[in-house]
Amino acid sequence: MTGHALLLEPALMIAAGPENVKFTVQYGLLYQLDGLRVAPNYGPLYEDGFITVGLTLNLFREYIPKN
Amino acid sequence: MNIPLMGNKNEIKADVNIDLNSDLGLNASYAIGKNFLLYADGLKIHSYTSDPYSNINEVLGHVGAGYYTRIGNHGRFEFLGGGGYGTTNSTIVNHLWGFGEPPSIETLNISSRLYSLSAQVDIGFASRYFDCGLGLRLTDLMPSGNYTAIYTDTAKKIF
Repeated sequence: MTGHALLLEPALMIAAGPENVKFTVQYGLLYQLDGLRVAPNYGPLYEDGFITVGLTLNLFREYIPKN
Repeated sequence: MNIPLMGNKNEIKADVNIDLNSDLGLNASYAIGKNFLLYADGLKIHSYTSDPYSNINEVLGHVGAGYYTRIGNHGRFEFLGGGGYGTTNSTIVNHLWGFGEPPSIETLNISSRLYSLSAQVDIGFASRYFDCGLGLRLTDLMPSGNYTAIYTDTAKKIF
């Protein structure tokens, strides 16, 4: 199998929660702009949509200099 | 998709996510400089449907670097670019109906390594308790392996 698939993925991410651990929801779509086909003269091989949920851990603590 | 929305040097973010098909994703990113970040992400897909039959197994990993900056206090903008590697071992049954084409049932068997190059732009809002962002990733996915299509009454290799 040779060739390529040119994919465009827009995604919207929303995260909310305490400062260092946020609950995350992401909605995304997958479009194939060019390249591999399911079969000759038929549609693109890659097309999808997805909703994911997860947790984001942010280990950063902002440094506040002492006076 | 990994949308880090970095705003500070030394910021480290890691996240684990799952979708309705129990596909698992891992993202990590590190702001190595005031405007420079490194990132990695991985995705494991296992999707099965019985009618029409499909059994998709993919593992994809991706690493890269990017530029980030703030827009005001809470606005974020970043540009990411990188490359990836993965494998797929999938079977998909397609019912083909096309204009000027005879209808047929096709069984695709794909066993392939996957190489990718991507560029991504993110814009968003980040605060202590709430973040939101919009990401747009353009990926050139380059499979290298076996791709066979078996039709209802004939079998042929199409690549």
